[in-house]
Amino acid sequence: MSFGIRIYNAARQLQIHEDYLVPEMIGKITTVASGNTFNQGGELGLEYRDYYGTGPDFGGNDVMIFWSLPEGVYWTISDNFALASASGGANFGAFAYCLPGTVITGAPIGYVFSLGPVRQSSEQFGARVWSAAGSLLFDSGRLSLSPHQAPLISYPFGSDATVTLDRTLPAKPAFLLPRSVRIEDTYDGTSARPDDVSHMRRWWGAIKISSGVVQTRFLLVKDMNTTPTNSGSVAGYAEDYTYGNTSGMALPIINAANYD
Amino acid sequence: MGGFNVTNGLASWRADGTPILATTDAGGVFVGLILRARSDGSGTISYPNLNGRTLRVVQLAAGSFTWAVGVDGSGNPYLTFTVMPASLNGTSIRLIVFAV
Repeated sequence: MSFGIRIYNAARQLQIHEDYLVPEMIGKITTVASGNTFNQGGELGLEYRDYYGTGPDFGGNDVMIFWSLPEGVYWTISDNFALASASGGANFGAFAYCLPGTVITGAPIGYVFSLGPVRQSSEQFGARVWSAAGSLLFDSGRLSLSPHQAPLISYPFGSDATVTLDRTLPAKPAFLLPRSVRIEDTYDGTSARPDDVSHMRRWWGAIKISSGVVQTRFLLVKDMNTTPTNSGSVAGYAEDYTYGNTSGMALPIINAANYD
Repeated sequence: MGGFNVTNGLASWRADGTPILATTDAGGVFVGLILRARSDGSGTISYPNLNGRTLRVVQLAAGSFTWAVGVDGSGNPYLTFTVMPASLNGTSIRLIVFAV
């Protein structure tokens, strides 16, 4: 790039770079509770409830989804992104983990940002930025992504311990949530069915917001026996692994009120 | 309109005055969605056009990798991937990367 444009904020932090897209909010996902409650032996007697809603038309692009979450309970996100191959109108959701009888006020709302080129607006005043290849990166007539804080790094999931994050939240925070899963399975299969699981435990990285404080936790959400078929002729073994990093992740936050 | 005192940079508003991009907002450039198949193996992506900046990563799906970010001796940020044993059954990794 021999010509281009960069825009900085008042603190001299970079907001727009001539090589990179400023993703545009293209729609919201309003979820409702299915009404079902599940208990899979999670820690503290927690049960979970699922919430689902329909996504907007992605316009053939990948998307990422920021979630506004009701306060006071732990949440894991079923969907924080979707590839273009997922059709618009697909279902997206979140899971609440809470004690039985807990009243959850409201429901998660997803804010969907397209990762494709920005659609040119009809505004006659404003600013637009294009890449060297001619794709529209920013249009001031669109709902541009603007982080509430710089996407700060270090978002740990303490192993079973609650971690309180030092974040100042906007009026209506919505989060792009990392996903981290730990799995521990005990296998007790047969030579013909070696993958039969006799006991499974699952931990999910979860987030809770209470009175402006963000907490994260590796939550034991499933701890249950299963019944392998024809077990016994192969010695059982345990497999314990974690998908992905459990620390050093960023937690981008937007003020969802600006996008309502 | 909008009530900003714009001393640097660029601001955008909705018609009702709601700020979208404000000079008092945080920085942070969206770099992209990174997909890496297990068959791509371990490796490093360097970002020379983001010289002097550091990467911030959101792990959307870790698949069969662990990852780390750093800055090389020339000030170029990079993202490294380490593939995990096949026995863990992981698939593609999906990360959202920002630069600050």
